[in-house]
Amino acid sequence: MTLHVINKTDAALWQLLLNAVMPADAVLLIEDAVYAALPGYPLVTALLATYPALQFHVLADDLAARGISAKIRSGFACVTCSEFVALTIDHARVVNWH
Amino acid sequence: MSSFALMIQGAPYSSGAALSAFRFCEAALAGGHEIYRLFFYQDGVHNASALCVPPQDEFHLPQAWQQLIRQHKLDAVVCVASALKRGITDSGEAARYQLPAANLMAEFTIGGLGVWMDAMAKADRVLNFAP
Repeated sequence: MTLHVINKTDAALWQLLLNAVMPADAVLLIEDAVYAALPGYPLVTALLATYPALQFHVLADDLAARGISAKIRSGFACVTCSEFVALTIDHARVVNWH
Repeated sequence: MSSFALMIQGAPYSSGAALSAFRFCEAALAGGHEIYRLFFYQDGVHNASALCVPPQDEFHLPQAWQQLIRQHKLDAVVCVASALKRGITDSGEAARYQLPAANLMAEFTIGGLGVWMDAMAKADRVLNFAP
């Protein structure tokens, strides 16, 4: 199980993530990538179409800084920094996409 | 308890990378984990400058690193090649290259990629905070 941490909504970068992700992995959205948690972001839709059980987490501080905490997709888990730390321990590997 | 090696590649205020790394580092320490090493690489070396003066109502990230490193006695290494080409230097390198000043905060040391290799091998988890 790998935790994929991604920090922007760049389409080419997300395509790389889409190619690399495995069904039991999790994705954590940080910094500007939290915008991908808004409903309808196409590459999230594509990822969920391929892997419906894929877990998505979103960093709460970065959502709040952009004023979109209340608007994220249902099923996405809002996480604190300490939960971010716990996620990195719960997964065997961490990959940072940037 | 787990140990972490963190690479920081973003300059303060230029992207969110350095602030994300700082918050992660704080949270890991608060959770009782070990920070095996902080490695400041590429533009990340600017976090170690003693000469940053942000406006008073803005978060002073270099100073916050300084305090966190001092408080927890962290091993904070700045990549020598990244630092020297960006004008970040300790007094030793300043003397070697006959520079008029040195600006690396005392809490940081200058090192090579070998110490990052060591951190990747020894730490339980490796995270790379880049722009």
